[in-house]
Amino acid sequence: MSEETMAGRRVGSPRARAIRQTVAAAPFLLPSLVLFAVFVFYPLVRSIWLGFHATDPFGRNEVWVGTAQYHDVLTSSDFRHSLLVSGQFALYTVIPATAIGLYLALLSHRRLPGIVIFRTIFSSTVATSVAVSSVVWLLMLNPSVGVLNYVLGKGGVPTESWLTSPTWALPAVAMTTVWMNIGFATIVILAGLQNIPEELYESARVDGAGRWSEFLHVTLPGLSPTLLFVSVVGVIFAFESFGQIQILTQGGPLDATNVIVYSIYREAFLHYNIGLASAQAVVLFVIVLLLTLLQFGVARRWVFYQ
Amino acid sequence: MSVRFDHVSKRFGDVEALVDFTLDVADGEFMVLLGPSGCGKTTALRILAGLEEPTAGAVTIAGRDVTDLPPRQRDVAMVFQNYALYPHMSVYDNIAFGLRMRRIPRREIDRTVREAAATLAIADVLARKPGALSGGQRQRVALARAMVRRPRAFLMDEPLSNLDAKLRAQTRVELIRLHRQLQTTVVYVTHDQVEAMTMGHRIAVLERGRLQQVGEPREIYERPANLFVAEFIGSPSMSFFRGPLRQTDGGGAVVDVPHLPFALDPAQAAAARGAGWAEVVVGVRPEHIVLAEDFGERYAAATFEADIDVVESLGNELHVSLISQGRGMVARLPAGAPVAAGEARRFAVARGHLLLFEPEHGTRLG
Repeated sequence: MSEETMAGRRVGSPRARAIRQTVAAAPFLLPSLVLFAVFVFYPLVRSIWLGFHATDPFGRNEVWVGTAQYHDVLTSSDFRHSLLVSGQFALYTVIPATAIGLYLALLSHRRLPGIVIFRTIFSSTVATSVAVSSVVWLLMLNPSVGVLNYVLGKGGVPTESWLTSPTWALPAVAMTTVWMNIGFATIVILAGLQNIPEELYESARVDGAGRWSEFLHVTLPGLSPTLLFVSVVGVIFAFESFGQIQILTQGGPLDATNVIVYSIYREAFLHYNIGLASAQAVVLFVIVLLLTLLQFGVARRWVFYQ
Repeated sequence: MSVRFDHVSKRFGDVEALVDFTLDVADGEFMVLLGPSGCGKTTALRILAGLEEPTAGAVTIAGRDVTDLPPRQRDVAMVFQNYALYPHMSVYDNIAFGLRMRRIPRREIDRTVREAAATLAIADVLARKPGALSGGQRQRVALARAMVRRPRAFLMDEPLSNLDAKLRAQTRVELIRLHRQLQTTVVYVTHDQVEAMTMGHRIAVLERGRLQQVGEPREIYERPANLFVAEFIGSPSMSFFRGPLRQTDGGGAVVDVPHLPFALDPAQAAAARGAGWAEVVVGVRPEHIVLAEDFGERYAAATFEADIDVVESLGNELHVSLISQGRGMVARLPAGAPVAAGEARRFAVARGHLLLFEPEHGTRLG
């Protein structure tokens, strides 16, 4: 092969080069693509498909019903109630978990001997499964033998049947979820803190900033992408919560904790209404997508990417 | 305002970053702390800023002991190597930050910021974020931010090291001009001897946490206190030769380097005899090695044959690497000098320019 053709091949047209690069990238992407296809893309497409069909209790014998089930979902007061509960649940979980995670991350970001131990403790809830921590909280929230009422009783505060009270069930489940999410929030915010250059703090200190000004003018702006990430993921977590609801309240009492995913579960596996459940799932998908886009949109004003 | 380091030491675990460092900087002086990386110069600056606590000793600014004061109460401004501009703030807000922290009235802030921006020619980028600026512009913003504070002293930590060579030379001149205009004390840390020589009223040379010498640039260059300073200052570096000190008839003395004996001036010979050294190290600057043919033998402290290894032309001068009897050295010759790599030529070392050092401790004679 002569020099010329070699050079000619190497340069090529931009189009040819793009094709060559894609072909080269394919084997690297394949394993992920296969996994995504099996566990994400196929179920998604299948759900959308099922949303347009009525089926027997086993999801077979599909009959095309058009948008009827989507219409049912969107006009159903039960679904609207679930949506409201999910929204409340997100509100109760995202803000406290982010705030507490931020606080713990700030505490454990300092360079002190043995601080790693605290970092580990603060982050440990990330390594606890939803099922395990739900069972633990189920015991702690137990009205008669639970430690929470014991402590409250000692302090003279009125005790409560947390998980069976329509008023307190959702906040109680939210509290357990906050506890579960703190670890994740702390880890991510700690990582975010480490990305803020030390010199910015030093510069601020020389320029006359106190602790609060440092936090306001260096830490918060530096953390803004991290906080956005934590809150977006938190909202998604909240809308997809299922395990703790299933273990702690089964959606009760009086549907007070019947979040969307739980209602989908009921529709699909208690009422065997696969088509309607799929339609709900698709609507949930669209809602979460819109919420995420909204958060990114709002955040663009104040989030700063370096 | 004047600045004083009073027997300041700093340890990081087992590492002695700064050892018994004492230095007086006069009001309005441009003091350069110079040394290789890890010599303690940055530690000294950070201690002065209050970002680091000394293990021992005291720091005073304008006669007041500030050792235990936090940075914000020291009233100094610092320019960081990476500028440390707040990435989410506009240039204007960056410059105004220190003033806002000090609760200066808004109108005064505005006036001061615009004035500084005009001085440093960044008035047209005040609305931009630092990310949208060139390296040179960022550097100016960092300077402006320090300037508007009207601090008691400017502390600068290698502020030019992130600029390309041309911009660095240009900014050097601007800094000199700026200092002349503001008359504020500057403590300037650098490892670049050109910056030190051109900008500093005085230079403090540090190595391994110890102050080696303080003096005006010319003094440091011509009369280095010890071997370290002699080798560190000057580019290309000084060449060194070690040999026994031998008395000659008639009260003279010779440093008897094998195949390269250096004849000492009578005064130097007397001083060397007085010091009672058995061996000495002779230091020769590249500009004092010349072609022997251009040079009367009687002006030479030594003449020798050398092979020309490499000739580097800088346009205005040549840096010529020589090998003589297995010893390497560098000569600085005028641009047109008739030398070429591979030739063997005779060279002379000019009389009156030899520096003598004690081999063990490196102290200079005289």
